[in-house]
This record gives sequence, C-alpha cells and structure tokens, in this order.
Amino acid sequence: MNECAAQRGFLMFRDCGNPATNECATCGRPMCAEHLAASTNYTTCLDCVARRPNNELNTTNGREYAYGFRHHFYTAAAFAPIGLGLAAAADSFYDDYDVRSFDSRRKHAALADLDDEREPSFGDS
Amino acid sequence: MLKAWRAYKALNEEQRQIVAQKQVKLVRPIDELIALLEPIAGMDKILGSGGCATLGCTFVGGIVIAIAGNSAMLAMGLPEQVTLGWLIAFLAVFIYTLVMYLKTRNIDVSDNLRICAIPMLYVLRDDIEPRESVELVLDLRAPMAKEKLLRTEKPRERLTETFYNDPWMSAEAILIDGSRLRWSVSDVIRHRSVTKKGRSGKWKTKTKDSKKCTVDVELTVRNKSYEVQGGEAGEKKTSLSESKTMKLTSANAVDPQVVLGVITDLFRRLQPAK
Repeated sequence: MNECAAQRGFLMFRDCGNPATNECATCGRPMCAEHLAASTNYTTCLDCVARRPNNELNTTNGREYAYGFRHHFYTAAAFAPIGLGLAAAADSFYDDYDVRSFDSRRKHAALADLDDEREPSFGDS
Repeated sequence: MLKAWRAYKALNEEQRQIVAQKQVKLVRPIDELIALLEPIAGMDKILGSGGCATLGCTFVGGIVIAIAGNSAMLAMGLPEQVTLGWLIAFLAVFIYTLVMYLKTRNIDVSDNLRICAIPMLYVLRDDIEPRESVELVLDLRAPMAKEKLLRTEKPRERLTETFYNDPWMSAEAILIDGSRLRWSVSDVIRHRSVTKKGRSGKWKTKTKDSKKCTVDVELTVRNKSYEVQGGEAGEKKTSLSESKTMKLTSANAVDPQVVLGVITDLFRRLQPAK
C-alpha cells in the first residue's frame, strides 16, 4: 500500500509517513485514517474538507479545525510554510501554498541530523 | 446547566483539580496536553453557551409561570391546597436552580482556554516534537477577577475606569526541526462604567470593555538549517523575537489567529539554508 500523501504541520510541512488505508473520494490521493475527516465518515481527506468554500472552522474536531485553519490562514495571510516534507515539492496538490523548501540533498541531511542529535533540552543559546 | 455539571463530573481527578485551581503549569507532550485540556474546554463550552441562558430562562420562566398559574387558580376559585402545592413546586424549581447556579459558578474557567489556547494547540500539534514536553502555564481565572485588578481611575465625575492585568498564557516547545519556540499572551482590560441621567430623569449605568492584548514570541533556530533575517546570531543558533500589542474593542477572548499571526511573522524571516 502507498504512503499517506497528506502533509502535516502548520509552520513546517512534512510527510505524514503513515501507510495509506484508503483513497480520498474527492482528490483520489492515498490517505491514512488520521488524515480522513470523521465528519465525512472517513471518505474525504482533511485537506479537501478544508478547501470546501463553505467550510466553517469548528473546534468540535481538533484535526479538522487545524487543517481548516491552515488553509484559511495560508490563503488569507499569504504565509508560506517551511517544507520539511520530501514529497511536498513534488505534490501539485499543495502548489497554492508556496512551500519554502530546502533542496532535497540538504533536506535529507537535515532530517538525518534531527534523528541523530535531537537535543533533550535545547540549552542556552 | 445540568449538562455542564455532568460534563464536570465526567472529568478525571487531575482535570477537576485544574478547574478548581485555575492556575496551572503543565509539562508534558503535546498530545497529552490536548487530551488533558480538551474535556475542560468542552465543559466550559456547555457552561458558556447553555449554562447561563438556561439559568436565566429558568428564572424568568419560573416567575412567569408562578404568577400566571396563581392568577388562574385564584380566578377559578380552586381550593387552598392546590395553590399551596403550586407554590411548593415553584419553590422547589427555584431552589434547584439556585443550587445548580452555586455549584456551576465555581467550575467556570476563562473562555481563553477554549477560544484561543486549545485551537492554538490543535494548529501547532504537528509542528511540535511529539517526544518532547511542552511547558504550558495557564491562568484560567476570569479575566476581570478581583485578583487581577490593576488600578481604578475616575477621569471625571460619574465615569469609572477599572483596569485588569491578565497574563493568561505562556508556553515553551521544541519544534519538529529542533527549533525552540516560546510565546506568551497577556491582556490589559479596561472596564468603563458611565452613569448618566436619561430624558425621563432616570439614572442609567452603561459599561464598556476594551483590551490591549500583547503577544511576545521568541524563536531559536539552528544556523545550519536556516538563513535568518535579523535576530541575535550565536555560534550555532540564532534567536529571533517579536512583540505585538493589539487593541480590541471588547474583553472577549482573543482569536488564535492573532497569536499564530505573530508566530508566523517570525517564520517569515527564515529561509531554508541552501
């Protein structure tokens, strides 16, 4: 099965990394259960629900709120998140969001660095 | 109100303690923080939307029904026992409402939790390193609680201005890229009370609230990951900070977009290192 095509994060975009369990009924991308909206009975992805023109932000479901807020904020405040996701640059679904990506060689190195030297406390800078 | 009380009863011991103390410092991973605070916000929503309205409706409805019922019974010439029974029933409803009001009064927490803090945590959840603890300090007492009173001024006759200082949230988190993010939100509320004599000769008091919301954000990033515009550059890390004060025309809880807007302003100054 494919990996989930959703991008996590608000300040920084990164690949979900979970195995996909279903396809979004709207965009057809492979999705894991976490990125399918409970309000659509897990048939549509959170991104597609967020992009609906009449989508209202409601905190009843935290994930749906976060993705709705993210879409609203990116389009209203023209914020471009930092792209940590390896698939973000390749996925045209997120073209509107203008992700500021690392080049792929650096991104691999940065992600490897994070795993190696994750600092327990950031310490004094 | 009963629904809110049931929601309170459904909280676990730690959550009830938070509701009772209202001033908390929590240090735990983001998912645990959300799981801990979400039910408290849910209870506050029920209390905020339905609770007070239910109380008001019960009081007004009770009085109207009591007067109408009594008048009808007197007009129909019903025996005294029936009128007495009616009054006892009315008293029972009145006492029940009063008891519920006294019980729920102490479990009310500041709207800042459900309107700003929880939505912020939802939005930032995937940016925060799930294995690291977030330090979150919250003051959930009412923004205009007497403990938060700053000063009272009387700029002119029959005008009173009361100021409250409410530093209600501060937090520190390690982000998924290893950066450290700190933020704090502090409100200064002005409560104006003006007494005027109307045309009919009656004295009327009008109140108006406004507030200044100050958001302070500090971000520390690794030099090898980002090129930073401005900021205090160290050997390995660079710190950026931003402080914004916004004037709001009511004392209502601030929109999470305001706080997240200041945080994103710092991220706009970062460029992924090439």
